[in-house]
Amino acid sequence: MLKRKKEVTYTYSPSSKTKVSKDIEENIEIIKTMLKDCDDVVFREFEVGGDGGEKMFLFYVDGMADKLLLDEFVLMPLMISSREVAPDFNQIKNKLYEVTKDNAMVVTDFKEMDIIEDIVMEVLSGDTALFISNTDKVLLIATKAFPTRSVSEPSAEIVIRGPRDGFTETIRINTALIRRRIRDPRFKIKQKRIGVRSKTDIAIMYIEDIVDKRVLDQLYSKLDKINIDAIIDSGYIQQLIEDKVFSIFPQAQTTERPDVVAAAVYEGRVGILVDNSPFALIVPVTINAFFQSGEDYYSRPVISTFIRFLRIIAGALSILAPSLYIAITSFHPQIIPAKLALSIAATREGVPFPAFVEAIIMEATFELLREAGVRLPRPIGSTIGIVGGLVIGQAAVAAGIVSPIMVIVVAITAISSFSITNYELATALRLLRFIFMIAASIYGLYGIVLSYIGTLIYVVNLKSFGTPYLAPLSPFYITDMKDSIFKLPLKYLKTRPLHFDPQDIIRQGDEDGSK
Amino acid sequence: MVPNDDKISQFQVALIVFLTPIGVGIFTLPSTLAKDVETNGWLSLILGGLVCLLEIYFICCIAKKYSPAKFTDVLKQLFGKFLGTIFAVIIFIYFLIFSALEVRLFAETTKMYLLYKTPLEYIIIPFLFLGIILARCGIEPIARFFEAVIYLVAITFILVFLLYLPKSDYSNLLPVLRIHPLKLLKGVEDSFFSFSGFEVLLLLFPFMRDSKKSFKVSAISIMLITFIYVVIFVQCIARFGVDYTKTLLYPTLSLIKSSDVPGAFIEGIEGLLFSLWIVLIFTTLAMFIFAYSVIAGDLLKQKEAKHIVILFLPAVYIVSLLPDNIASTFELVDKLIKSLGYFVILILPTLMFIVSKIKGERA
Repeated sequence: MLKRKKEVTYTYSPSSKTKVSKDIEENIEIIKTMLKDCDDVVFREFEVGGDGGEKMFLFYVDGMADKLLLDEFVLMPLMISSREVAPDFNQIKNKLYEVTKDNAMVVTDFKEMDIIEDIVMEVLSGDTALFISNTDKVLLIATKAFPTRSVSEPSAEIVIRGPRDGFTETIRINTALIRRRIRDPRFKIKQKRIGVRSKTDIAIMYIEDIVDKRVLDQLYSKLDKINIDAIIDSGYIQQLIEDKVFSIFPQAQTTERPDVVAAAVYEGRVGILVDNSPFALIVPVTINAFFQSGEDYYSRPVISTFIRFLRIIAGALSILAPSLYIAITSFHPQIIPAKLALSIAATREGVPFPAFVEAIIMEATFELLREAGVRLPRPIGSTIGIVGGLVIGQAAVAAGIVSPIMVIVVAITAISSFSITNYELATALRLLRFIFMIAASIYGLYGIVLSYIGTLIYVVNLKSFGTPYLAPLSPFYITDMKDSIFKLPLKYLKTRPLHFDPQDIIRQGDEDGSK
Repeated sequence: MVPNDDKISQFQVALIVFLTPIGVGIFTLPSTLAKDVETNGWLSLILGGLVCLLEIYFICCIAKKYSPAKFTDVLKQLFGKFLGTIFAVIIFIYFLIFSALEVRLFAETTKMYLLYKTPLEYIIIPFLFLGIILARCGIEPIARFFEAVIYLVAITFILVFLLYLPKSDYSNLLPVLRIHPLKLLKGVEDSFFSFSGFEVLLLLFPFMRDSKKSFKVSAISIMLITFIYVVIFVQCIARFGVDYTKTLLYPTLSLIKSSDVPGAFIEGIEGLLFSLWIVLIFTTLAMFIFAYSVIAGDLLKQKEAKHIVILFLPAVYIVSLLPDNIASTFELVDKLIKSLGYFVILILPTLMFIVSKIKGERA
């Protein structure tokens, strides 16, 4: 049989919408033109109904689709089983599409589509398209099965008590981790594709009747404005939805823990998952979240309160310790007892630098060690400990470059900054520390107070999706104090945090079951 | 999400009325009182607080009637366009000069207790600069800033109250009430002006989300301030005695200096406490700057007060450097209080109250 080959002239553009033609050859031609030089795409043409049967065509991306499923549950019934059972092929020849869809394929999840660009889009994310001759519809079989990392414990947020699962790079697994924790039909997972070329899946998660609708609207309007070629990680989204891009303070919370996201969603906040990124974003965020850990809610409340105080003190110390050292040694030695002042002066006797230079040297060294420690391959990671601890610490003192007190100060700073739960905030405080040190070297204690006031003015003006950054401390919400600096027993946490302005504020009804 | 309407809550009003009056005045207050009324200072403080409450009552009554009209508009309605404008200008000058003098006194104290060698100009400039930055953010960020510092302020006061004062003798407070009533009035006057700063309440009403409880919350703030002042005065007299207190320049700081921290890790606690106190002085400054820029903005018919804040910065800076030394600064403060201060915080609210009553009856 001779077929007249149609001339196909086709050029791809993301906005074009080409209808699937009834002529299967034309469709094949368009798709092959479109996916020319894409050697990871597999095309398979075959005939149904034995020799002289009708032509079918499927294509998928090798490595992203489940080959076994295609072989056994799509090709097998279509090519072989269909010939072994009644009715005969010739009887159903004219309604091939319906029969294929309803009787032949042994897969649960497929859709009908008729725009070629959309079909290619779906195939590139792992599905398989099945073209049937003389039909202007295409069956899209869900065959996504690509290499994924299994769910494992998050490395940046470790808890002693609490779930051990963390997000992976696959958005579907991640949404499942959250859905398992929120079995409520009112919990919505809205998906969007962002990135002109990357078409990355973004999932926006919230509970419909708790979330503050204004936050949601604001988020959508910001997401709609994004017009970028690719979204590689959730960090891209974070930067694109934040108001103050130069700020050192993160205006969205990042976490690797599904339990943290679920808890936030229950509080009326919005979670954002990005495909290919194990970090979820939570908006809005307040300073509160940075000193809390998921663990606080699982362990005993009094101890949690104590630990929260500890973290706040650690946060203050990690900013203040070196600048206080500078201020006291070079401006106000009278503040500390005379004996201590004398012994500090004695240890500093051989040090040729002013306190500021001494502190900068040691803090910069510490930052270097820290950065190197992160980048070092694991087997030689412990080298950094030896180099840092022995060589820099002890040798620098022995060489008379820094005083032993300075080494203690740096150690306190380091330990304090590691006890802040949020990595991004800890980094912000690291930067602040240097500003405080410079101010202390010029004005002493007055400089520290000035930089405190300056920082506070900045933070007070900062908002994350309309929520003041320092809430519930400023503006002050008395009822939210139960779960901010303090952590009352769960029995008393009857309302959701009001500073997120949830629609439904009651989280725990009375004992008789009423609200 | 908090509505972004540049309005403040009643709690924030209470904080503003609480934090604005407390500034540098408290450092000298005990010696001024000791000079004028000897041991009866605490009584005059309480009486001064009561007068202050009365003024606040007047302010709230006027506000209830005219709210949410702007302050300058209220003035114009009450006293006519010409007189109202003049009054507004006087209040503007009052806030401007007092913010300048507040900065000067603060700089002098800082120089004395923290930075012996730094020239005044270098102390004043960054402080004013920060004050301007905060003031131009608008009332809502200012209020949130006040809320954010209240924790530190609370720590400061707790530290001051917990000070262990060896050799305190509370019998120094005797004799009580052995004083001519007219002389006591002099003390009441001193006390009353130590509360100056509460008058910013006049300007706050257009910014309130709901002003029903404003008298109650401001009254609580004033009572709290009275309590703090009385405690400090009593401690000073008990520790130093009347005669010695009179001679001290900054009795409050001397009091802190004379305290003893058992098992001391910190010895010179007055430097540390004074640094914490800087935040309190800063709140006063920021509020005064905001106050004068609001009035200037209204007078110049500007919608945004943002640029006005910067416009008058040189004036504040120059006025703050006018007095030659600390003694002449105190003299100037005294002179201004006797003239401008009397008018703005005592006479004007009373006058406004009376006129509004008369006008109200007519209407």
